[in-house]
Amino acid sequence: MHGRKAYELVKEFASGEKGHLKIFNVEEGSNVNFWLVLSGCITRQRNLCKRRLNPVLAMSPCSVILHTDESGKFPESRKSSSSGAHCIVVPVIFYTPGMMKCLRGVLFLPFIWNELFERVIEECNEHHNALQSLIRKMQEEGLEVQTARTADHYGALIHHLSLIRNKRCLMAYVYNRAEIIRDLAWKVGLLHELPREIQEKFSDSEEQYFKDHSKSLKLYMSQLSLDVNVDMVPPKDPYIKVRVLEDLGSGIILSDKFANFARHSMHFLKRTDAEQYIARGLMEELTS
Amino acid sequence: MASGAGEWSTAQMDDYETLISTTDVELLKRAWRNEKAAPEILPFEEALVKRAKEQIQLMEETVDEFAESGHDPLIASLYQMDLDRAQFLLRSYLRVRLQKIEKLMFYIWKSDTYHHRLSTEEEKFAERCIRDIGKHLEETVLSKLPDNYQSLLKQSIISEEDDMVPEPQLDAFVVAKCQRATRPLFLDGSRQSAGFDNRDDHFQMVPGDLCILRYRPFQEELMSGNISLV
Repeated sequence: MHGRKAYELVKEFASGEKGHLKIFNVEEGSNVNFWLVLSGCITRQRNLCKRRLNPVLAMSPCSVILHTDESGKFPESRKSSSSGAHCIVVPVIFYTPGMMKCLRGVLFLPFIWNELFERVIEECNEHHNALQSLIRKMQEEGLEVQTARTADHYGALIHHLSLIRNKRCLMAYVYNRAEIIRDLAWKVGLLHELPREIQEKFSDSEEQYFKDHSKSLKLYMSQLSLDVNVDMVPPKDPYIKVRVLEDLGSGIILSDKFANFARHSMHFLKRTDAEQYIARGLMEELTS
Repeated sequence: MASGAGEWSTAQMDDYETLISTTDVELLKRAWRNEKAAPEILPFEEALVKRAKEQIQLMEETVDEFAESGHDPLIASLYQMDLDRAQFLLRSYLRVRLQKIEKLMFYIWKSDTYHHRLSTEEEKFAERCIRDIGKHLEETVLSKLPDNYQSLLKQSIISEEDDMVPEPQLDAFVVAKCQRATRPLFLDGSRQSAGFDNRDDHFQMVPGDLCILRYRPFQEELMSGNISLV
């Protein structure tokens, strides 16, 4: 079951991102095999990250494994139909932490939880209604809501706690995604548009947030008249050797020099000039 | 820092002089290392950053001059390398601070102490950050929740204080290097008191000592420059 779910997840990664992960055959249902293959993938992926300074791939891939642990069992929330004031309703939500765990994955995942999101929100409203009716009931009975220690009081408390738990989960999910978005804003957003594959995964509000945050960073830099987003790694040598990965043509001028940056050609460039192309995955640094 | 100079002993005077004699690069490097290692945001080194920027500009001019006049290219490239390093240091310093602001923005914003540690630009940045993320969270989650649960900083209306604000981990361990001899320190951070003779868990750091310490009790030592983080 776990393996199956993870397999689907990885498959999604693979089809989403130019097939970097499409190098394995998974025998469904065989967990052991799956782990071996997956860890192989991850090592490969990690090496890939090191080799290419591609920021999108450079995110730590560690928790693909984590994700599968929980996502294998996404139970429906156990809503016992709430009736009878003495019955304490405990809807356990297992799925919201699952949402968290997929965040730190190799790649940025799409905001696919829309439906789930709606469901959690809906559940929050149900809790709220139940909470309100319990409080009303207590008031009708003439009890002090704050001090009375009746079954209704504890029922209301449970509803309240479930509600804030849901809120925390949702907020954490969105907040953590926002952190990744900020990271992207640092690495690519300031210079250029994001690649389409990533942009597709944003929700509308996230897209706006990405733009806003890039703008804030830009504003800061213009106030300081200093670019803080270059020089991400400590410089060793002012010049580095690079290989061009995608055809850039000869239209680019680097520090007043022309060169034909045909695909697979190799150049010896100033590090500061080459850095932005490396960040976008158009060139790679060659280390001897 | 200079205000208390009159009361300083000669030993401390000497130390002060050695401190003055250290170059800006060295100071910037220390500020950068401290900032990188500390879990909270430290006071902005405004004067230092200003000086560093001026010096970098000067260097840039020198390098350009060298390149134009056709001087020995090797020397020009050495200058360039030095320049690159200085620039990296400055940028990285500012960058680390910005990233800390991004991470702890709500906490920094509501505490005066932290607020005063920011530069004007950083303050503006933090303000925008808060506004943006607030808008984003509002749109995505908060506006859909019941009325009493819509606060950004509180879990619900009945929370007495802001309980949804990420805080820095002040109890994290840091590696500290001693710059100037410190007064006797206690591991739990308690001050030297009348009863301190009875306790034998204090220790004194001498310059060059390397210790792994909990951050919180040694904040003051760090601020006064007695220790630096690595």
